[in-house]
Amino acid sequence: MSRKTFRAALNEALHQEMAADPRVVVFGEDITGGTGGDGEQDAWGGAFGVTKGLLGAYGRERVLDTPITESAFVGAAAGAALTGLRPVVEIMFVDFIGVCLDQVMNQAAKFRYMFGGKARCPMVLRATFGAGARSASQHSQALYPLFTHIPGLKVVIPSNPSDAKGLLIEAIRDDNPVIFLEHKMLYDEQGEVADQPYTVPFGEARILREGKDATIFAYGRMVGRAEEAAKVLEGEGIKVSVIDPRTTSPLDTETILEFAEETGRVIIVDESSPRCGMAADIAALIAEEAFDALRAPIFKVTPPHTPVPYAPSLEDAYLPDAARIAAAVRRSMKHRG
Amino acid sequence: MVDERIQLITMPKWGMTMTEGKISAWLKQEGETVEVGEELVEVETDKISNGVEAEHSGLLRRVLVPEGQSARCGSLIAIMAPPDVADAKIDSFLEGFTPSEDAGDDGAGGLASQSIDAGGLRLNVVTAHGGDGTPVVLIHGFGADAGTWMFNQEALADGRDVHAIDLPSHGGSEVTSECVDVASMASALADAITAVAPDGAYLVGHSLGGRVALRLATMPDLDVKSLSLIAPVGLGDGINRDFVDQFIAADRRRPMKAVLQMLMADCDAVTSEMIERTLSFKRIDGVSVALQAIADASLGVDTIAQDIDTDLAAVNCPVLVIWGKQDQVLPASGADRIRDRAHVVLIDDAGHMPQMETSAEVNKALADFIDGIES
Repeated sequence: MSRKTFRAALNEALHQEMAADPRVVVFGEDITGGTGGDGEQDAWGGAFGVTKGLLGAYGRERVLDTPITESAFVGAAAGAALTGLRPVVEIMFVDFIGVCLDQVMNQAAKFRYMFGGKARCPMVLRATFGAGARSASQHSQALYPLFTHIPGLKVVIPSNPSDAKGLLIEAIRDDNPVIFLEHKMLYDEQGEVADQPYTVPFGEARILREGKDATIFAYGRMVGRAEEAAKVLEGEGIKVSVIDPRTTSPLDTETILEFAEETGRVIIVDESSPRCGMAADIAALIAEEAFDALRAPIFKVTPPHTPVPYAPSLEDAYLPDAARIAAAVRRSMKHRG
Repeated sequence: MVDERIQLITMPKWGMTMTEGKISAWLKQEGETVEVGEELVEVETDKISNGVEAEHSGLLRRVLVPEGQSARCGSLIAIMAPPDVADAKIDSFLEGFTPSEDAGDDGAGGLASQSIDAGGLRLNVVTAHGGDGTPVVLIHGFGADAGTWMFNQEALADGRDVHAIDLPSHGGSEVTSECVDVASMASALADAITAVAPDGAYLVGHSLGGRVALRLATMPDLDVKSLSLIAPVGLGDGINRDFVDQFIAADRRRPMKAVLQMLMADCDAVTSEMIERTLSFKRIDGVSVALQAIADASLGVDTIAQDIDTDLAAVNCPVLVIWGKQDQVLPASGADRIRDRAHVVLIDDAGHMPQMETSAEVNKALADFIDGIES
């Protein structure tokens, strides 16, 4: 056990799985850097440094820089997975999924079903997501609802370094295509991470704190903000539970309903767009299955239904923050239900 | 010149990562008398909320950190002193008091961990430094780790170092399916103990760690000054199989919660943090297999009482046995086996984890026992 950044935890997961299983291969744009030039090899380790050091340890056979063609290398990964490898591909920004969505949505996600369960597609598609990096609307989206919508894909959103490592190892060992989404503002976050390889199962929520007054559900970077809000509210005598479902598909409906029923007040924080997003999805689940336990309307805290703004002040205003989350909890508490 | 009757109450440090704690409630007010073991204050961190029990009886004179405020680990939060210590004396003590810098910004405070090569096996040892006295070595039970001593380790580190060793395949120690029976675990731990306490040690073992400690106390090359066994394996009739089997099988939060509740007299003492921590440990590669192997080799119907009479007969040092009367894993009647030659302390409100549930009583029993040997 030692303190590691989110980035280092992911890097360690890749190292350990590549060391343990020769079928694990990694490819993507600039994941080593320096390819084809006279300069330093492995100069980059990916645009965010997550794959650094893999080239030296495992060589060009297993660590490949690709051309800027997501359609080609994501399709190649799906094919490689079908034929027995366990590729981990990196898409620099999840926003670029637009150019290879057919490979993901119509091919990788469907193989197992279309081939009567005989085909396996153990592919992990890692991608950065999320706003806050001043990267404008084509590099800042939180597109996880898009993938959650598609049967056949598993969708993972780690919120801390320890989960990042365990969930990535679980993803690599899974026999199905997994979309693994890394919030780019979390890479430097630090936390305690076990040194040995370990897994965190999909579909099991993490309970960050337990309070009887209300429950906040949050994913990814929003988990930290929900925690901040919970601390502020505690000072006001309002005790909230904070739950991170960790994966959107599969979804830990059991824990979600348990806490909705126990507290009767639900606030869902979601960085994706409000229409057809995870907040809407979880709200619908609770309204249908736990209606009688509710003591207040379900409150969603999301960005507005707009592209992510480029102006820093607007981008900050766009994202849910602790103040907005706390305000939603206070509104919920006003209902005497 | 500090009046020795002035007792300092400091913010406790529970485990490696705690740097500060928040006072959620003072359970005693200024001017109230406190008995040893009574809860004085409730402290919470991001991870855990727990009562701090008084280590000594006395009169609570000053509360220095009000409810709702946080204080760094090791910092002064209250003062106890008998009524005849004048207020002015307490005031002057406080004026001259310099807060300890022990709980520095490294986050580890007084705890440091190291990896020790024990005959080719890497064992993790967490140490609370307390001085040059004969050290104490703590050995946790099946499925636990050094964190099981979070409420004891620093309290015992008074004039002596206290080392908590992670058993093979537990905590930060190497995962292995080889070192699983009492004899080989004891042999690995003997190497680690010789490394950290070359001139002898007081051994304290809980549950399976108690069984291992008992074996260690019989080893001629090891200078064991005393043996303290907390709900040790092997003395009574078998073990609650449900606990062992379900602990190994539980791979999700809900079943794990039910298993951990068997450990406690008070079910509510099982927190989400404990459940998460235990599950995280079990999800490390190889741990489940190793746990099953340990259960077969050390806790099985045919193996649990193996060599117990021989080992008991071979122990020459003073022995203390502590047991929770509400233990659902290993019944406290196990203490009868050793009553003729050990000092036995039975605790009413504790289950299988008295060192956590009734830490002040356990700390006092251990400290008194060791003091008695030294005086």
